[in-house]
Amino acid sequence: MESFNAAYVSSMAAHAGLKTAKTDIDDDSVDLMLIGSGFKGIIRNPQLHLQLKCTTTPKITGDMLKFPLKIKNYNDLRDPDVLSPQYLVVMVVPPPVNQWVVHGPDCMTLYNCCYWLSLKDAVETTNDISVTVNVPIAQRLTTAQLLYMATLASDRKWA
Amino acid sequence: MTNDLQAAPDSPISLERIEAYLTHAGWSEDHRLDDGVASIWHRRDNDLAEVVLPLRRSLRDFKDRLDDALNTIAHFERRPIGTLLKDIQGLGADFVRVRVIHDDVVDGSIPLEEGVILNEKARDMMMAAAMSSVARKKTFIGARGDIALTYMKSLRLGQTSIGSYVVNVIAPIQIATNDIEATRPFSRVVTENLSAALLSLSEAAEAYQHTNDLTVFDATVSHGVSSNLCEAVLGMGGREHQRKIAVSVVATPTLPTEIPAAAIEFSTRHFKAIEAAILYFKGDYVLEGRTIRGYVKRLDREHGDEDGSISITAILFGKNEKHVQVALHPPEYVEAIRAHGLGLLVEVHGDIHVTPRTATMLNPLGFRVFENGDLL
Repeated sequence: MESFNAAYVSSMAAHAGLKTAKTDIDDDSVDLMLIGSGFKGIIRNPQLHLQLKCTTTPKITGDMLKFPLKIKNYNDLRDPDVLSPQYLVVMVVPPPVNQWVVHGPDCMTLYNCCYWLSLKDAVETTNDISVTVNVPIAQRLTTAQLLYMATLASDRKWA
Repeated sequence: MTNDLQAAPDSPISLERIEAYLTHAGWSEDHRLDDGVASIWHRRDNDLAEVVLPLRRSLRDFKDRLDDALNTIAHFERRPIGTLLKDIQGLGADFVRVRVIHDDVVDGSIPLEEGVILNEKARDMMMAAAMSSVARKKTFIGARGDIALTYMKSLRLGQTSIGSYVVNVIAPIQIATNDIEATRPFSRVVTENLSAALLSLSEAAEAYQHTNDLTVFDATVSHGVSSNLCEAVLGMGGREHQRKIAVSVVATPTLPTEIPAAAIEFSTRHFKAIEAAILYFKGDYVLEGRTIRGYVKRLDREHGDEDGSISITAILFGKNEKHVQVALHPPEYVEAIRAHGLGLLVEVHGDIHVTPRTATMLNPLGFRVFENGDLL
């Protein structure tokens, strides 16, 4: 599932003109780095650091996707003492693998959607194993959103 | 990162050395992030080239971002990172970076007139360090000498950096000249001397604020401080001495040294002390609130005047005697005449303005004569 998630986000990144780099080891809760080029802010080549998660059984309550996140990932992602903005990206995929990709006569469709969340400065927790985070359904990850995030990162800001 | 460049190996390479290399290689520091976590470097010949150098080692992703920065440089130079690291370590020059910090330079520009003065004072600082590497003196006047002049000609001015505003002086270490120490090139002697002198001056300026005692500057001369160095440091702080400055001396590791890596800072609160040190070194200063005791050496009163002036031989500090001129009102002057005639000790309190040739009490108070038998 992770590879599909990375491919899904990478396709949007390519669409947005961002380069991608995978990290060798997920020590810092970063699975995929997106690197912009020629932006107009302080940092011309800003980076976005993404922690990718995928689920076939989304728990949606109201307008929130409730996702259990490992405590290490939670603490890493809420740590503001990093150079580049980092986001949690949760992808929802259909349970049968054969429904992930559908080929049409002149297109290919990837199912279903990614949602993003910034945990910067999120509250400390006493949980030992995991924390359930609320990812707003409204926060769809799209090409435009990635570009917006990169523009903010160029000025060293988070979405 | 799984790119075509290998990760930078763990190494004790210092950030100052990487900054020095970037300057040497034609990069300019265009921004320093407000919270000081990173510096942003660009090139004039390539708009897309950018190095984001992490500066705060406490960053959780410090090592990864440092790897990114080194990989970016290596990628730009189209060579393996190992070769790059060797060159960074082996840069054949010492670097002196003067960072000027103030609201009026945050955008990376500086008022033209101030910029000219800044560069001049940076040059004067290097000259003062070169002069005191040859001989220790409180003040250097007159001809500079061949060794110092040859050294000055070898210096280069690097790319100006932003963040806040930085002047880079490059001091190549391979200079054919009459080194005063056979084992080390003169240029290294100068950079070590500069580092020691600035540190000593900083400590003395700090001490002076607490003690108001000018003699704290005496010991700094043996570390290479002179009035010339003080004037250079003061001048780099701006016309109104309004800017903070931080001087980093970065030695090339090809020639081991114990120069501390940390920048030496001078701010507005140090500048008043440094101004006092300049006058002190030049022999023109005021000793505040001093009580002097001594014998009346001379009496001087114009015909028809009632007020008079006397000269008291006294030791101000150390072992040097000075003749201190003291203006007295009529009753005190009459007492002084008596003390002079009988060879009695006198005492008076006030601020003393000292110049190389004179010492004058500015606001004498409490003049008294010790009678024979008085307890001192």
